[in-house]
Amino acid sequence: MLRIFAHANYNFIGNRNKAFVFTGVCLLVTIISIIYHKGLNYSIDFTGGTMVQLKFQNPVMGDLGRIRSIVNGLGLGSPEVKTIGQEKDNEIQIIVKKQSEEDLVSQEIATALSKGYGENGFEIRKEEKVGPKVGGELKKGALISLLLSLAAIIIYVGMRFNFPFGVAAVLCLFHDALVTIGLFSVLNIELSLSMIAALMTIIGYSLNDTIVVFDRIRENMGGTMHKQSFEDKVNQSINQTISRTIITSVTTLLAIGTVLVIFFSSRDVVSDFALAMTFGTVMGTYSTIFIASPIVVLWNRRWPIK
Amino acid sequence: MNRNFVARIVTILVCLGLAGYFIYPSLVFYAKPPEVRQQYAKKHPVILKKVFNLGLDLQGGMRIVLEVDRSKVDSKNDHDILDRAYTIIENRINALGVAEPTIQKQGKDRLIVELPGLKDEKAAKSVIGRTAQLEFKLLREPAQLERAIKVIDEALKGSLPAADAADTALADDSTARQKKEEQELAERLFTGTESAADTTAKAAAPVSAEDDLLEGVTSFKGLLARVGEVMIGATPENKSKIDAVLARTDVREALERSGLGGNQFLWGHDTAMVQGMIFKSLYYVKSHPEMRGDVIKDARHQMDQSGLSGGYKIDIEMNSKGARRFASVTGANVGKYMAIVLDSTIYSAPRIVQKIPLGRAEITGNFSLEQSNALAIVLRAGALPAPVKIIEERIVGPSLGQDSISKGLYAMIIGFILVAAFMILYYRLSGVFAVVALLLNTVMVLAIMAGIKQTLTLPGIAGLILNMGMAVDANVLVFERIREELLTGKTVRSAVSAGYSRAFLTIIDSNITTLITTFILMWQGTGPIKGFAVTLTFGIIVSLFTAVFVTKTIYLVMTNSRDMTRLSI
Repeated sequence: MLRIFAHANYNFIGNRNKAFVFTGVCLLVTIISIIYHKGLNYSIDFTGGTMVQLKFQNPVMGDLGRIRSIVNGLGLGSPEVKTIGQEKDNEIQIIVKKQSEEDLVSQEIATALSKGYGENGFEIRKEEKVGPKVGGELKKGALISLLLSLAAIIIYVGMRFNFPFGVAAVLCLFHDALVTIGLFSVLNIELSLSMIAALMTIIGYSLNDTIVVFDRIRENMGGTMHKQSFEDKVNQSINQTISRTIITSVTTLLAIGTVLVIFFSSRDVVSDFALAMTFGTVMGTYSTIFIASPIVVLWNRRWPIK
Repeated sequence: MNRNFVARIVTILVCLGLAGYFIYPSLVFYAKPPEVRQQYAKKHPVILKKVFNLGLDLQGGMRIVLEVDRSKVDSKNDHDILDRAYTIIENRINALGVAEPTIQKQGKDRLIVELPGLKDEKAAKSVIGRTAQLEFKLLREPAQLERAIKVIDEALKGSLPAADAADTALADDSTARQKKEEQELAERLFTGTESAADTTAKAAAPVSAEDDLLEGVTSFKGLLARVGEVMIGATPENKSKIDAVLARTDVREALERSGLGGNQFLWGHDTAMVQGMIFKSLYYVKSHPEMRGDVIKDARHQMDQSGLSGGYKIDIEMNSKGARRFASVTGANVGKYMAIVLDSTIYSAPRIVQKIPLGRAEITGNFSLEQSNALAIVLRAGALPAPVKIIEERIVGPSLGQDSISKGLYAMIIGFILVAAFMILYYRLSGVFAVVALLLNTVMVLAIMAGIKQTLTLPGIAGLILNMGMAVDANVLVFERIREELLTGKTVRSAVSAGYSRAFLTIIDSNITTLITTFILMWQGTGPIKGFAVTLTFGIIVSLFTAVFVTKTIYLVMTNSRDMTRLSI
C-alpha cells in the first residue's frame, strides 16, 4: 500500500495564526494590485468593443510600431495591439474597447492594414464584437450568477450542517474568489466571461473540498472521540481526510495542468482559464484546511457548537 | 452469483450498449478529415442528427446576435416584429445552405444566429441584412411541368456525368440563372474570397463536386418522388442533387430553347409526411411575379366561421393600389394557383377561386392555428419592414478552430494518461478499476452529448478534462475509506462494503454543491460558459454511476467469487 500521509498527525489548527498572516498578505496584495491598476481589467465581454486576431504570413514582431500607428490613425481611441502565442506564429490581437453598436471596427482595421501594411498578408483568425448594451447585460449576468451560487451554497450547507459551517464555507469561498481575482489583477489578465466560469468552478471545487472535511467533523462530533476537545476533533478530521484532499488536488492539477501546459503558448482565453483553475485548485485546498476549519474552531470558542 | 449481481451487471452492460450506440456515429463521422466530412454530410444528411455538434470555436463559423429595431417601426405594427424578423431570417439562412444553422429567439427583441463552417462573413451579413422580398407568382400548368421534366431529361441523357463547365450567363431572371447565382453565393460563402491565382483551381473544383453529387443519377424524373398537379414531392436527400441538375448549363440552355426559360422551380418551405416518408415540396412557377409584397396592408389569421370543421383562415387586406392590381390578376387567372413566395421560398399556393375586386382576400384550407399564424406572419413580413441590427458577433476562422481541436484532443489524451498513471501507481489494482470507470465516464458524457444533440465547445473540452481530475474524487474518497477500514482489521469484504456506505453521503454532499454552481452557470451563462458547464454537469452526474456503482460492482464480483484476504488498494 503506497501512502503519502500514513498516520498523519499535523497540528493544522494550532498553526492557524501563521496561516491567517499568509491569508492577510494575499488579500492585501489583491487590494493593492487592484488599486494600482485602477480597478479591474474588464475584457470587451463586459465593456463592449471589438477584438480581432490576425495571423500574418511573415514575422510581425519588428513591425508592431507601424501596425500601432496605422491602427491609431483610424481615430478609434487608443486600441491595444499585442502579439499572441509564440513569436513564430506571427499572430497579433487588436482590441478596441467601448464603441457604438453600428461601428464596423474590424473591417476598418482590416482595410487599413491591407492598405498601409500590404506587404505582409494576413488572415482573420478570430473576431469578436460586443455591443455596449450586451456588455452591460453580461456584466450583470455574471454578477448575478456569482451571488446566486454563493446564496445557494449558504442555504445548502446551512441545511446539511449547522449555520456556523455555512458561514465558514462561504467566507472561505469569498477568500478563494478574491485571491483569484487578485491573481488576474497582478498578472493583468483580462476579466472575461470565461474567467467568471473559472471563478465559479473554483468556488465549486473548493466547496467540494470543504464539505469533505466538514462531513468528517460532523461524524467525529458524535463518535468515539467525544471526550476530546472540539479543536482536537477538527484537527483530527483534517488529518483523517488529508490524503484524500491532497490526492484529489493532485489528480485535478494533473488534468488542468495539462491544459495549461498545452495551451500556454497560445496565451488566450483557454490558457488564462487553466491558469486561474490551477491557482484556484491550490488555493481552494489551502483555504479548506487553513480558513474554513479554523473559523469553525473560533466560532465554537465564542458560541459553542453542539 | 445472486440476482443482485446480475441486475448490476445487466445495468452496466445496458449503459455501455447505449453509450456505444449513441457515440458510434460521432466516432465514425469525426474520424474523417473535415473536407470529406462535408461531402459525407451532404450525401447522408441523417448523420448530422446523430452526432454531437462541434461548437463554432472548434469548427470555425459565425455567431451573431440581432436585435429588432423598434424605433424604426410604427408602434401599432410592432407586436409581432420579432416573429416577422424570425421568419425572414430563418428563410434566408436556410437558403444559405449552411450545414447546421441554428436560429433562436431570445427575450422579446433578439435573435441568435449561429452559422458553423461559414467563411465569408461579409457575404452572410449582407444576405441577412437584405430587405425581405415577398412575391406572388403563378404556378405553371401540369402540362408545362411535364414538358419541362421531359426537356431536362433529354438534356441530361448521355451527358451524365460528363462535366460541362462552360459558363454563359443567361439574359432574364429565369430559373437557371437564379439557381446559378444562389450556387455561386453558396460557393463564395464556403470558400471565402479567393485571390486571382486561385481562379483556375476554383473553376475546376465545383465541377468535380457536382459530378460526385450526381453520381448514380440517371434522370431528373428519377429524382422526384411524386409529381402532383400542384406540387412535386422530393426526398430531402435529393434536394442538393435536384439543385445541381437545375444549375447545369446544358439543362438551362435546353429549357431556354424549348421556350420554357421564363419559368423556374422553387422549393416550398414545409416538408410533408406521406406514408411515413418525409418529402420536400417543389413547385414550377412563372419567374415573373404578378405582384410584390407592397400590395399588402395587413394579414391576420381568423377562425373560419363558414367552414364545417372550424379550422383557421387568413384574411388579407390590400392597399388601394394593391386592390386594383389584385383584381385584375385574379380576374385573369381564376382556377389557377398563386404561390406566395418569400425570398424565393414558397409558403403556400392557394387556388384562385374567383376574381377579388375589393382588396380583401382570404386564404382558406382548414389550416391549424399555427399554420394560419405562420402564413399571416409571412405575408406581413413581406409587407412591413422588421429592421434588425447586429449587437454581438463572434467569428472564429476555420484554421483556429482546427488548431483548437487538435490541442484539445491532445490535452485530453495527456490529461487522461497522467491521471490514470497516478491512480494506478497509488492504488494499484483498485486504481485500474478507477481508470476503467473514468474511461467509461468520458465515453458516456460524449454519448449523452451526441444523444441530446449538445454542442461540444472548446471550454466544453476544458470541462471534460477538468472532470477527469474531479471524477476520480469519488473513487479517492471510497478508496481512502476502505484503507481506513482495512487498517482497523476488517475483512476485505466488510471493509469494501463499509468504505462505500460511509463515503456515499460525503460524495453526494460534495457533488451537489458543485452541481449547484454548474446549474447556475448553465442557466445564466452564455456561449462559452454554457458549454463548459454542460460537460462538467454531465461529468459529475455520470461519475456517480461510474465511480461508485461500476467500481463497487467490480469489487462485489471479485470478493464474491473467492475469499480474499488481501486487497490491492
